[in-house]
Amino acid sequence: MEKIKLNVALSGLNNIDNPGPGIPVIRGLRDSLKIDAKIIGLVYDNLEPGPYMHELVDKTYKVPYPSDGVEPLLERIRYIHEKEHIDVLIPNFDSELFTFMKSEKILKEMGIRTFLPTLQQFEERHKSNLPQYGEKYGVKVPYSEPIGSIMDFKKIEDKFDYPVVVKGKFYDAYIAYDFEQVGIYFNKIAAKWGLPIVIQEFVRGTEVNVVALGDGNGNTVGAVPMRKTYITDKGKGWGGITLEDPVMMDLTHKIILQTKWRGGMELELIRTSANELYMIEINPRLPAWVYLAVAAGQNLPEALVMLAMGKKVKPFTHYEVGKMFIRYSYDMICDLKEFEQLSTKGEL
Amino acid sequence: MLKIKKNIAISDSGFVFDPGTGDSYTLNPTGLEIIQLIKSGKSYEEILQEMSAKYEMDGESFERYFYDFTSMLKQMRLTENHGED
Repeated sequence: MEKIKLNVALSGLNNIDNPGPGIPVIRGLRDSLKIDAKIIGLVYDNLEPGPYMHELVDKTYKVPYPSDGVEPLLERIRYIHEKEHIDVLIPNFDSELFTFMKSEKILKEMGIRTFLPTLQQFEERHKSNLPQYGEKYGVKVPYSEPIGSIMDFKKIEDKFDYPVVVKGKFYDAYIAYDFEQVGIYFNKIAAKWGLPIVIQEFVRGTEVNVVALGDGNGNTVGAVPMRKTYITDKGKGWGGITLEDPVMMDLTHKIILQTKWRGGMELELIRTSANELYMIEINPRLPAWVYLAVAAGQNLPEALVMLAMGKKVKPFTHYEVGKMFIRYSYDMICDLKEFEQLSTKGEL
Repeated sequence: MLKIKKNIAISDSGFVFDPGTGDSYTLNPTGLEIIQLIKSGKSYEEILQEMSAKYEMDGESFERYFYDFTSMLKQMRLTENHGED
């Protein structure tokens, strides 16, 4: 079968100790037997490793931060599109999803396809809305409340037992053992990610995750459950293994069916010693460990691009249990000329 | 009778993998032999008989070590009858 030639633009090329999903998504596309992709990297920082990984990324453009507003970002995308004729765009950061979802129609008119959750799907799974989400879809979630100030927490402190989890809107989570620690983490996260901060009941157990892809009609195109086997001090998985877990799979299918989820997602769950599953978060994109799913037999990045192109994708029914990943760091030697080019021209 | 969960993979090298949790364990040759006897559906008495015929050992010590071993298997949730399945 001849491969389809596509120009795929994506972000999340920060393959650092807390990596974005960009590089693993690209690896999935490079492995594809259906797609011959030209990869266009969208980066925010000159030191993101992706632009210098030439075997994976064909061309890189710097883009303005989403916080700069929709217009500057769209203007930059327009410029890149003129040069590269982007077929599919995959935003890989939670923080940029809102902007791209809002611009979906404009991008479509430009000829750029995306495959993102709807605004409603995106909004209702926010950490601050999780209790309502759990109730609506019949999923166990830990009790949580969003707060705008530390005094807000003082008012609701007796609803919680310590420890509690202090969470940022997009990223970061810390376990706080008393009011003082809640204050410290509140300030730390608020300074970086803004408000609200979510205070969540701490559920003791093992963290397990599922990467999945919904087709937007309620069907699960693919899903692979995993347990982190090695966790860094930032709480990121540095190793993981695929699991055989029908209960996690049923929960994933149920959530995708009920919400008609469109696009990639990562379910973060806690399995308690009583074998109950609590959903602690839904990340509205493919996670950085998605290449494990590819290696286990489900090329979800490829499927996502095919769906974005309006192609029919046969749902995956199998994956290899016991497939492992071990992340490693690697000092890539780069040419100063390339750094100079990305820094001064914003392209490489 | 003690039953090892059906989905637990036990290799000839003594490597045990629980696909439900992703946990893995390593057994010494004696542990491997015993877990295979349990897996084949043998009772404690049958295992004792088989081991006694093969090795020089006293039954009392064997009983103690056997129950130590099986309680560890239960604790690691590798068995089906630990009350929660």
